[in-house]
Amino acid sequence: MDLGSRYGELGIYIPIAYPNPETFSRVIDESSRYVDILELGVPSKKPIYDGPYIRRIHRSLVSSGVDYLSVARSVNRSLDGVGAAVLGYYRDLLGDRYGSFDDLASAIDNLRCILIPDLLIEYTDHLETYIDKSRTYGIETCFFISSKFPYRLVSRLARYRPYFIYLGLQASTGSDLPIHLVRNIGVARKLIGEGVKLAIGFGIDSPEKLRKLLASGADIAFIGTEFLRRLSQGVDDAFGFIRSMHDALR
Amino acid sequence: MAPRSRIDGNTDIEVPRYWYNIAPDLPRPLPPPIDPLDSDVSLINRLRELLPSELIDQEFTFERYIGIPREVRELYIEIGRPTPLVRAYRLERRLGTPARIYYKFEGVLASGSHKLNTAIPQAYYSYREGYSELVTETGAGQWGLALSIAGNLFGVSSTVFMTRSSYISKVKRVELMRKYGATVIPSPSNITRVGKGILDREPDHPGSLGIAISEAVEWVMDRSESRRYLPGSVMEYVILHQTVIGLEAIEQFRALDDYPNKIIGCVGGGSNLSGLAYPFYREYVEGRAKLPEIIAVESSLIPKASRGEYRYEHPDAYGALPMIKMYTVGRHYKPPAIKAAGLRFHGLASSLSLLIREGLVRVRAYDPDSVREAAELFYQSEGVLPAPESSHAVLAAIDEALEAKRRGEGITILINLSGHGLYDEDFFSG
Repeated sequence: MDLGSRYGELGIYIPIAYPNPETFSRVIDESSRYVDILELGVPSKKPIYDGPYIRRIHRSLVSSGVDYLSVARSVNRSLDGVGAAVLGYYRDLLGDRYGSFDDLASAIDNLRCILIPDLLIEYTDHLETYIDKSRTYGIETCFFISSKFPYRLVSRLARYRPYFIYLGLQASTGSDLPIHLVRNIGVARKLIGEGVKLAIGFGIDSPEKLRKLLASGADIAFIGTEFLRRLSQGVDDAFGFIRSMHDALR
Repeated sequence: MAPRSRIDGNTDIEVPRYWYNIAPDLPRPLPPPIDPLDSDVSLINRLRELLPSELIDQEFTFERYIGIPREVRELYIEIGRPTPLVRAYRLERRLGTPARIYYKFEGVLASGSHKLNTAIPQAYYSYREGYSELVTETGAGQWGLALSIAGNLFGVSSTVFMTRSSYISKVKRVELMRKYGATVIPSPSNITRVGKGILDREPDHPGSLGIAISEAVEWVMDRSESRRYLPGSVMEYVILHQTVIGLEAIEQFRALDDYPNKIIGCVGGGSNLSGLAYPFYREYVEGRAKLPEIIAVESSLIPKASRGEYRYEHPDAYGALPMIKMYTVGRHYKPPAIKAAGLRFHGLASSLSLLIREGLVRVRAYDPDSVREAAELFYQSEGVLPAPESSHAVLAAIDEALEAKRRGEGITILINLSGHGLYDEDFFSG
């Protein structure tokens, strides 16, 4: 993809196999024309930091019993031109009995990192395990933070030289609270320095917002809820939306 | 020996120009609020319809310091800030302890408690954003009275849902709230669906803060274009506003060339202890001082921190607000109608809960009789009647001072005397 003079990179979040394996495959196939990175969600029974919209998607995928590992493997070829990150909750990826970190790390050829949003909030003591596992599979690390993270921890995370540090802009996905996002991005930027990419997400739903937030110091913006809402109305609608986001970055 | 001034002129300090947000300095990330897993509605997004925008922003700010608006700071000065840091010489003598006991006396503020420190900015932001009715819950009435005063300062009306047991026993505060133009409604009430549902099942229900919050939230949701819900504790931005207490105290100790070894406060939702202690925690994080031992004192009848669980729970009884991670006895807990009604809340603020979890704040629980005896001793020694809630902190300070006497240690103890008890006419009535 020609980045040209761009505000930043664009990513979309889509749970693996949503809305069904065929459409998911098509979305992955076509998305490399518009986005720089795909964030593939691991269906979860307990997606606690997600808003109701994405939670409903997780519920439907979990109850459908879809074999998401097979679906992830099946889209490998389409990921050639685009970076991929997996997003999943700790219990689903590193939990004692059901953890699929190893399977996913082996299944996706072009995987850059696995993002675990609750790792540093609920499982801080497992940070080194996560880093070791990422190294074992030759993938980079990436970390989720929020505006309620200690400064020292954020600075420490940057020293691991992760692929990116992801700042959740809102309290949950799909939220739209009146928070001074530009200021919070500025604080995060200052803490992590210039050598690490700052990704942002949660509640980015328009080209204007996207451009403004990227211009304020972020490097990558992920679009989740709004893209999935459009996708529920049809692939064309979803890609029309992503195209407008893509164009806004030029 | 010549008599010594209890305050040594230490109110000459400046009122702080900023509030301190502890989140950037916590040992771990603060868990975010969440929606209940089975909900199809975003309670998090609902905050837009409940709170003034500026307060939502403060709840989620990434900044360590937030400037206090000029208008708010001027009002802080007008209502009695800075509050005195008082040396309890006579109590020390009575106990025969080598410990130095200080109390930060928030009871001198116009409403008689620390609650004005957040009532003023909350009313200010609501007024500035064009809302005409402030809605809240109150237990003992300290918060309800503070918000009534703050609303009156900005010419905005207040509606206060007051737990029924306190509405009956704290007659003076009800009267004072009304003098400031507030509408005071005993909760459970018959003007909300939540209240009616409870009264249908249990007509004599004493009420709880959890129920009163639910009623206040419902009341706002019914006319959210003109009303805003303003809570008196638990939210992180409330604690943020209360940090003026600790920021002042640090300057006052600096002038005295002393520093506390122990900081003690009672905990309802946790804002008065946090407001006093967090700035001292900052001094520790920045390497300027040792961390004092911080002691949270609760009622043994509502043992949320000493016997509760650390988990996600709604702050209100009916689950209308997002869940926060906290120590709690559960939102359905029916607290007994104790005199220290401000301590009847079922949970503790998220940041304070995290510090307890991390072992940086210790918890103590006391029974009402011991607390009343401590209040009597303090009153007889100092001539100041502490509020029933603050008396929990007084008892802990007495215990610590006696322990220091046993060990022969000249330690410094700091209490947040968060309010006076002159309006708690039921306190000594058994």
